[in-house]
Amino acid sequence: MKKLLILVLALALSGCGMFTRFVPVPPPPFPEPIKELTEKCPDLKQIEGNEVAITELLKTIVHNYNMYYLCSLKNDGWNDWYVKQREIYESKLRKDVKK
Amino acid sequence: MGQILYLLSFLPDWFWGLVLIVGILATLAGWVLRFIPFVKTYSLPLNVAGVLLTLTGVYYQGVIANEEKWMQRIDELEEAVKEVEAKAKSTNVEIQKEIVYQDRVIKEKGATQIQYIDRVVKGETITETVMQDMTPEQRANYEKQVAELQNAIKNCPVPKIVLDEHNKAAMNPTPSKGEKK
Repeated sequence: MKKLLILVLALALSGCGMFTRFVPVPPPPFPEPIKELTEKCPDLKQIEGNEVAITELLKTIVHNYNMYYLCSLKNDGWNDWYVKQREIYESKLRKDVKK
Repeated sequence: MGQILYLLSFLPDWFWGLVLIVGILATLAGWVLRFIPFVKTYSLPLNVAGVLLTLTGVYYQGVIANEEKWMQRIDELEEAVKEVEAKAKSTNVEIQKEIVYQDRVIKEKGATQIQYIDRVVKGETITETVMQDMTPEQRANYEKQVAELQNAIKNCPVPKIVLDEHNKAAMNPTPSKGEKK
Protein backbone atom coordinates (compact mmCIF):
# COMPACT_ATOMS: atom_id res chain seq x y z
CA MET A 1 0.00 0.00 0.00
CA LYS A 2 2.82 2.39 0.96
CA LYS A 3 4.73 1.61 -2.25
CA LEU A 4 1.60 2.22 -4.28
CA LEU A 5 1.05 5.53 -2.53
CA ILE A 6 4.63 6.65 -3.23
CA LEU A 7 4.22 5.72 -6.89
CA VAL A 8 0.91 7.58 -7.22
CA LEU A 9 2.32 10.62 -5.42
CA ALA A 10 5.35 10.66 -7.72
CA LEU A 11 3.07 10.40 -10.76
CA ALA A 12 0.85 13.16 -9.42
CA LEU A 13 3.78 15.50 -8.87
CA SER A 14 5.43 14.73 -12.22
CA GLY A 15 2.06 15.19 -13.90
CA CYS A 16 2.36 18.92 -13.33
CA GLY A 17 5.05 18.93 -15.95
CA MET A 18 2.43 18.08 -18.57
CA PHE A 19 1.39 21.70 -18.47
CA THR A 20 4.83 22.94 -19.44
CA ARG A 21 4.52 24.20 -22.97
CA PHE A 22 5.86 26.35 -25.71
CA VAL A 23 5.40 30.04 -24.85
CA PRO A 24 2.83 31.34 -27.35
CA VAL A 25 4.37 34.76 -27.93
CA PRO A 26 4.86 35.72 -31.57
CA PRO A 27 8.31 37.16 -32.36
CA PRO A 28 8.48 40.89 -33.08
CA PRO A 29 7.86 41.83 -36.71
CA PHE A 30 10.95 42.14 -38.86
CA PRO A 31 11.99 45.81 -38.65
CA GLU A 32 11.03 47.89 -41.65
CA PRO A 33 13.99 48.95 -43.78
CA ILE A 34 14.71 52.64 -44.17
CA LYS A 35 13.23 53.97 -47.43
CA GLU A 36 16.40 55.85 -48.42
CA LEU A 37 18.46 52.68 -48.11
CA THR A 38 16.25 50.65 -50.42
CA GLU A 39 16.76 52.99 -53.37
CA LYS A 40 18.95 51.51 -56.06
CA CYS A 41 22.34 53.14 -56.71
CA PRO A 42 22.14 54.92 -60.08
CA ASP A 43 24.54 54.12 -62.90
CA LEU A 44 27.56 56.35 -63.31
CA LYS A 45 27.32 59.23 -65.74
CA GLN A 46 28.91 58.86 -69.14
CA ILE A 47 30.27 61.58 -71.41
CA GLU A 48 28.38 62.20 -74.61
CA GLY A 49 29.71 63.74 -77.79
CA ASN A 50 33.07 63.65 -79.53
CA GLU A 51 34.39 67.16 -78.93
CA VAL A 52 34.34 67.59 -75.20
CA ALA A 53 36.16 70.24 -73.19
CA ILE A 54 38.40 69.11 -70.37
CA THR A 55 36.10 70.82 -67.88
CA GLU A 56 33.17 68.72 -69.04
CA LEU A 57 35.25 65.64 -68.36
CA LEU A 58 36.14 67.04 -64.95
CA LYS A 59 32.49 67.78 -64.14
CA THR A 60 31.49 64.25 -65.08
CA ILE A 61 34.24 62.84 -62.89
CA VAL A 62 33.16 65.05 -59.98
CA HIS A 63 29.56 63.94 -60.53
CA ASN A 64 30.58 60.28 -60.52
CA TYR A 65 32.68 60.65 -57.37
CA ASN A 66 29.66 62.21 -55.79
CA MET A 67 27.52 59.25 -56.85
CA TYR A 68 30.06 56.90 -55.31
CA TYR A 69 29.82 58.65 -51.97
CA LEU A 70 26.02 58.63 -52.10
CA CYS A 71 26.04 54.91 -52.81
CA SER A 72 28.70 54.27 -50.19
CA LEU A 73 26.44 56.08 -47.71
CA LYS A 74 23.67 53.58 -48.46
CA ASN A 75 26.03 50.66 -48.00
CA ASP A 76 27.32 52.01 -44.69
CA GLY A 77 23.73 52.77 -43.71
CA TRP A 78 22.69 49.15 -44.27
CA ASN A 79 25.62 47.90 -42.21
CA ASP A 80 24.79 50.32 -39.43
CA TRP A 81 21.11 49.34 -39.60
CA TYR A 82 21.92 45.63 -39.41
CA VAL A 83 24.36 45.97 -36.50
CA LYS A 84 21.99 48.14 -34.45
CA GLN A 85 18.86 46.11 -35.15
CA ARG A 86 20.64 42.88 -34.33
CA GLU A 87 21.97 44.37 -31.11
CA ILE A 88 18.45 45.40 -30.09
CA TYR A 89 17.03 41.96 -30.91
CA GLU A 90 19.76 40.04 -29.13
CA SER A 91 19.91 42.32 -26.11
CA LYS A 92 16.25 41.69 -25.22
CA LEU A 93 14.86 38.57 -26.83
CA ARG A 94 17.82 36.20 -27.08
CA LYS A 95 18.73 36.99 -23.48
CA ASP A 96 15.15 36.27 -22.38
CA VAL A 97 15.01 32.99 -24.27
CA LYS A 98 18.22 31.80 -22.63
CA LYS A 99 16.77 32.34 -19.14
CA MET B 1 -7.03 12.90 -21.19
CA GLY B 2 -6.29 16.28 -22.71
CA GLN B 3 -9.96 17.14 -23.05
CA ILE B 4 -10.66 16.19 -19.43
CA LEU B 5 -7.80 18.36 -18.20
CA TYR B 6 -8.99 21.16 -20.48
CA LEU B 7 -12.50 20.99 -19.01
CA LEU B 8 -11.14 20.84 -15.46
CA SER B 9 -9.05 23.93 -16.14
CA PHE B 10 -12.29 25.95 -16.21
CA LEU B 11 -12.85 25.26 -12.51
CA PRO B 12 -11.73 28.15 -10.29
CA ASP B 13 -8.38 27.85 -8.49
CA TRP B 14 -9.97 27.96 -5.03
CA PHE B 15 -11.85 24.74 -5.82
CA TRP B 16 -8.57 22.78 -5.97
CA GLY B 17 -7.46 24.32 -2.70
CA LEU B 18 -10.72 23.12 -1.21
CA VAL B 19 -10.17 19.61 -2.64
CA LEU B 20 -6.74 19.48 -0.98
CA ILE B 21 -8.08 20.64 2.38
CA VAL B 22 -11.00 18.18 2.24
CA GLY B 23 -8.59 15.41 1.26
CA ILE B 24 -6.28 16.10 4.21
CA LEU B 25 -9.23 16.33 6.62
CA ALA B 26 -10.72 13.10 5.25
CA THR B 27 -7.38 11.30 5.66
CA LEU B 28 -7.07 12.54 9.23
CA ALA B 29 -10.71 11.64 9.95
CA GLY B 30 -10.12 8.15 8.55
CA TRP B 31 -7.14 7.76 10.85
CA VAL B 32 -9.11 9.03 13.88
CA LEU B 33 -12.15 6.83 13.09
CA ARG B 34 -9.97 3.72 13.43
CA PHE B 35 -9.95 4.27 17.19
CA ILE B 36 -13.73 4.72 17.53
CA PRO B 37 -15.77 1.52 17.81
CA PHE B 38 -18.85 1.04 15.55
CA VAL B 39 -17.69 3.62 12.98
CA LYS B 40 -14.22 2.24 12.35
CA THR B 41 -15.60 0.29 9.35
CA TYR B 42 -15.82 3.67 7.52
CA SER B 43 -12.16 4.32 8.27
CA LEU B 44 -10.68 2.60 5.17
CA PRO B 45 -13.00 4.10 2.50
CA LEU B 46 -12.57 7.53 4.10
CA ASN B 47 -8.81 7.06 4.14
CA VAL B 48 -8.71 6.02 0.48
CA ALA B 49 -10.98 8.88 -0.57
CA GLY B 50 -8.89 11.29 1.53
CA VAL B 51 -5.62 10.15 -0.04
CA LEU B 52 -7.10 10.36 -3.56
CA LEU B 53 -8.46 13.86 -2.91
CA THR B 54 -5.12 14.93 -1.39
CA LEU B 55 -3.25 13.63 -4.42
CA THR B 56 -5.65 15.37 -6.78
CA GLY B 57 -5.38 18.56 -4.73
CA VAL B 58 -1.56 18.42 -4.75
CA TYR B 59 -1.56 17.73 -8.46
CA TYR B 60 -3.76 20.72 -9.23
CA GLN B 61 -1.80 22.99 -6.89
CA GLY B 62 1.21 22.10 -9.03
CA VAL B 63 -0.79 22.77 -12.18
CA ILE B 64 -1.87 26.18 -10.89
CA ALA B 65 1.68 27.13 -9.84
CA ASN B 66 3.01 25.95 -13.18
CA GLU B 67 0.35 27.85 -15.07
CA GLU B 68 1.12 31.03 -13.15
CA LYS B 69 4.81 30.64 -13.88
CA TRP B 70 4.16 30.32 -17.62
CA MET B 71 1.67 33.16 -17.69
CA GLN B 72 4.29 35.36 -16.04
CA ARG B 73 6.83 34.23 -18.64
CA ILE B 74 4.39 35.09 -21.44
CA ASP B 75 3.83 38.56 -19.96
CA GLU B 76 7.59 39.11 -19.72
CA LEU B 77 8.14 38.04 -23.31
CA GLU B 78 5.25 40.12 -24.62
CA GLU B 79 6.74 43.11 -22.83
CA ALA B 80 10.17 42.37 -24.33
CA VAL B 81 8.66 42.07 -27.82
CA LYS B 82 6.92 45.43 -27.44
CA GLU B 83 10.12 47.01 -26.20
CA VAL B 84 12.14 45.57 -29.09
CA GLU B 85 9.57 46.78 -31.59
CA ALA B 86 9.59 50.31 -30.21
CA LYS B 87 13.37 50.43 -30.01
CA ALA B 88 13.71 49.13 -33.58
CA LYS B 89 11.42 51.89 -34.81
CA SER B 90 13.23 54.66 -32.94
CA THR B 91 16.60 53.35 -34.17
CA ASN B 92 15.27 53.42 -37.72
CA VAL B 93 14.29 57.05 -37.29
CA GLU B 94 17.76 57.92 -35.92
CA ILE B 95 19.57 56.17 -38.79
CA GLN B 96 17.22 57.74 -41.33
CA LYS B 97 17.90 61.24 -39.97
CA GLU B 98 21.65 60.67 -40.18
CA ILE B 99 21.41 59.32 -43.74
CA VAL B 100 19.22 62.16 -44.95
CA TYR B 101 21.66 64.67 -43.43
CA GLN B 102 24.77 63.03 -44.92
CA ASP B 103 23.04 62.60 -48.28
CA ARG B 104 22.31 66.34 -48.34
CA VAL B 105 25.91 67.20 -47.39
CA ILE B 106 27.34 65.01 -50.18
CA LYS B 107 24.92 66.38 -52.80
CA GLU B 108 25.63 69.97 -51.75
CA LYS B 109 29.39 69.41 -51.91
CA GLY B 110 29.11 67.95 -55.43
CA ALA B 111 26.81 70.71 -56.62
CA THR B 112 29.09 73.42 -55.16
CA GLN B 113 32.12 71.95 -56.86
CA ILE B 114 30.40 71.72 -60.25
CA GLN B 115 29.14 75.31 -59.87
CA TYR B 116 32.68 76.40 -59.07
CA ILE B 117 34.02 74.70 -62.22
CA ASP B 118 31.32 76.43 -64.28
CA ARG B 119 32.21 79.79 -62.79
CA VAL B 120 35.91 79.29 -63.47
CA VAL B 121 35.18 78.22 -67.05
CA LYS B 122 33.00 81.24 -67.69
CA GLY B 123 35.45 83.50 -65.90
CA GLU B 124 32.64 85.25 -64.10
CA THR B 125 32.94 86.78 -60.65
CA ILE B 126 36.30 85.17 -60.05
CA THR B 127 37.90 88.39 -59.00
CA GLU B 128 35.08 89.25 -56.63
CA THR B 129 34.67 85.97 -54.80
CA VAL B 130 37.66 83.67 -55.17
CA MET B 131 40.44 86.25 -55.32
CA GLN B 132 39.27 88.71 -52.74
CA ASP B 133 41.31 87.26 -49.86
CA MET B 134 44.41 86.45 -51.90
CA THR B 135 47.78 88.11 -51.67
CA PRO B 136 49.08 89.69 -54.91
CA GLU B 137 51.35 86.68 -55.45
CA GLN B 138 48.56 84.18 -54.96
CA ARG B 139 46.33 86.24 -57.22
CA ALA B 140 48.92 86.26 -60.00
CA ASN B 141 49.40 82.53 -59.65
CA TYR B 142 45.66 81.91 -59.71
CA GLU B 143 45.16 84.09 -62.78
CA LYS B 144 47.90 82.14 -64.49
CA GLN B 145 46.13 78.86 -63.68
CA VAL B 146 42.79 80.19 -64.97
CA ALA B 147 44.41 81.39 -68.17
CA GLU B 148 45.99 77.98 -68.59
CA LEU B 149 42.59 76.34 -68.12
CA GLN B 150 40.90 78.72 -70.60
CA ASN B 151 43.61 77.92 -73.11
CA ALA B 152 43.12 74.17 -72.56
CA ILE B 153 39.34 74.48 -73.00
CA LYS B 154 39.75 76.41 -76.26
CA ASN B 155 42.60 74.52 -77.82
CA CYS B 156 42.76 71.07 -76.31
CA PRO B 157 39.55 69.03 -76.61
CA VAL B 158 39.74 65.74 -74.76
CA PRO B 159 40.85 62.98 -77.13
CA LYS B 160 38.09 60.58 -78.13
CA ILE B 161 40.01 57.60 -76.77
CA VAL B 162 40.09 59.17 -73.30
CA LEU B 163 36.31 59.71 -73.41
CA ASP B 164 35.73 56.14 -74.57
CA GLU B 165 37.89 54.71 -71.82
CA HIS B 166 36.15 56.88 -69.25
CA ASN B 167 32.76 55.69 -70.49
CA LYS B 168 33.87 52.08 -70.42
CA ALA B 169 35.00 52.45 -66.83
CA ALA B 170 31.73 54.15 -65.88
CA MET B 171 29.66 51.36 -67.41
CA ASN B 172 28.30 48.81 -64.96
CA PRO B 173 29.87 45.42 -65.83
CA THR B 174 27.18 43.54 -63.88
CA PRO B 175 23.73 44.65 -65.05
CA SER B 176 21.13 44.36 -62.33
CA LYS B 177 18.46 41.62 -62.35
CA GLY B 178 15.92 41.89 -65.11
CA GLU B 179 18.27 43.72 -67.45
CA LYS B 180 19.68 41.91 -70.47
CA LYS B 181 23.33 41.02 -70.24
